Amino acid sequence: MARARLVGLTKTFGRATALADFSLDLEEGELVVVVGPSGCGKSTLLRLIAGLDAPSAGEVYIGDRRVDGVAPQHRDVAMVFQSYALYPHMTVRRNIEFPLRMRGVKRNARRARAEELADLLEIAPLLDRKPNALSGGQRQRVALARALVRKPALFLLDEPLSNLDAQLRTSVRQHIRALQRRLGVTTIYVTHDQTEAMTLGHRVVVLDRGRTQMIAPPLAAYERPANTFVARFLGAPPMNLIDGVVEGDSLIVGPQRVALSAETVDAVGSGPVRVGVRAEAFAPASQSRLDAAHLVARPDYGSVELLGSDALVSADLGGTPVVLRVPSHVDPAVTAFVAPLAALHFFAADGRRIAP
Amino acid sequence: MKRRGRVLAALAIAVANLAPLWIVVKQAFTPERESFAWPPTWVPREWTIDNFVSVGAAVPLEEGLALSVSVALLTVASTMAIALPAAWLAARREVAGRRLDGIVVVARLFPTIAIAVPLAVIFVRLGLYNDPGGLGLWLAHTLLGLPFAFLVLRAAFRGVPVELEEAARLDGASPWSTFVRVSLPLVRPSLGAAAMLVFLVSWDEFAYALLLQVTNRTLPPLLFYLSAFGYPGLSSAVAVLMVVPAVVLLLALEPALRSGVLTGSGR
Repeated sequence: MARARLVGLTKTFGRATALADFSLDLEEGELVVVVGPSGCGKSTLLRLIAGLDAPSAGEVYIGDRRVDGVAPQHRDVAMVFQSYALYPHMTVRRNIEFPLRMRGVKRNARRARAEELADLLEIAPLLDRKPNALSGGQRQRVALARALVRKPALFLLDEPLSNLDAQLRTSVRQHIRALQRRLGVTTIYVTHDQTEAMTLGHRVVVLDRGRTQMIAPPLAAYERPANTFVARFLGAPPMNLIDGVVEGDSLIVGPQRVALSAETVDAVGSGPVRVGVRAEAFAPASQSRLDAAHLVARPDYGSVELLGSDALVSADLGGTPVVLRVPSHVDPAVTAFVAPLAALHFFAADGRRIAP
Repeated sequence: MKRRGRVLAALAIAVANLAPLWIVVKQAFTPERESFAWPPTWVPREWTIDNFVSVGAAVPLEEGLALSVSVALLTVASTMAIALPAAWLAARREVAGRRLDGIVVVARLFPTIAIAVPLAVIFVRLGLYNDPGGLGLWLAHTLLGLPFAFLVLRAAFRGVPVELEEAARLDGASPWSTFVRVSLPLVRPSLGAAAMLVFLVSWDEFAYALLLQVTNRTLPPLLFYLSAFGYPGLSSAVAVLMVVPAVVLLLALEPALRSGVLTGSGR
């Protein structure tokens, strides 16, 4: 349990940059989720922190100690691998005891601690089995127990849920969250799944092609994404993006013209702009609200995805196809959905957020 | 029809492989004169163990057996000591692996006999020729066994997921500890197979044994002399004796060869 600090971490393979200038300070006991599509550099990041690869540039601090250049076994970092990497020739008990054995912990202390972790993770009845006699979810928990048994300074998880089926995923996700809070271990959790990013961490780091897109608490990143990449990556369905033009104090999207507030105009300036609007920002419109204060989307019901309480409906907004999240029981006679101006995000042509 | 064809084919293969073996076993347990009988007898008319009793008087059997065993065991030990780290390295490091491949192949390009004579000349100078402990022969057999052990073990190490070794490092194990506690146990079946193979390479080796030793002989040259000088019964007796350690070793290693230790590490 310690603070951790990553400064300007960079990894290049030949000409390719896997990770560029990555910096992050972790509070003691904090859980940070690093999220991004495959190839974004998130696994590289973990390997650099763990010492499995050497950074091309940058520094890694765990506690107050600089550890880049220190061998992995001396970093006091524990990791859960995507494949779990359980030792197949050892029983569950010996798997969990292994990190303690490597640190010269006495037999009795080892046993006690391993059993404590097994109880915590509800795998006590499995202690004398070999990994090949366990289910995927059980292997997962053994991997967690092995990583946590020695109270590491820093705990790394590499897509730990990706091999579990959907139902198990939700329960293990909650379990990991509770465990991390309870043990107070500083944690970096890597995933490509935006749901895990939203639900698990104190903060989320969004990576794309090796570059940090945003570091913020999940809700803040969702509500005020720093750029169009974050806007589309966090949230399902992705945020709708529509090309528009600001002229004077009006936003023009296709044939629609809506009046912007003075602050928005100041921030956006005039000229082309990318307008973002979440699928759930739309509400069924009564005729009276079809005014200059709302963007109007016309559903064609060509594609309707029922999610249970809600449905995703395809629609047209000023000539651009968009997706709306509406109540499942909405009357198909409704021909217009509106989004208030307050729900709009404005991005520059290069994707950077400019307002609000 | 198809089934009968397969049975016949299997039978033909079995006969072709086992008939010469049977002749050797039969000769070992029949008097010399019956071995020369024509047409050859398939079932011995007369059983005897005379060949086993008298072979010791014809050749230095006990010394030969001792030397064969010690050279073979030493060869297994030295070959493994070199092949294990080399194979691990080749499996884990792409570039080093390709270089080692090249060396291994080149080493096997020349027939043993072409190397044996110059090697004998060098060994005379070094005082290793006809060494009573078979030191020179041990060296030669190590070179002979290395490629086999290397190829078998490299394939085995390639089958060990690298994450297991990485996990061990993060769990606090040194590189050496990782190798001994994780990598090595996971290639145990192949380790047994490689040891078996190398043992047999040395145990059955003839060309080096003939040319690098003169008076301190291993079993294959002794067998050759008996056979060449017209004692089929005695040479067959040696051959039968030579099969015994190989079979014992095979049975001892059998459980290790069967176990599937690598299942269950991941998903």
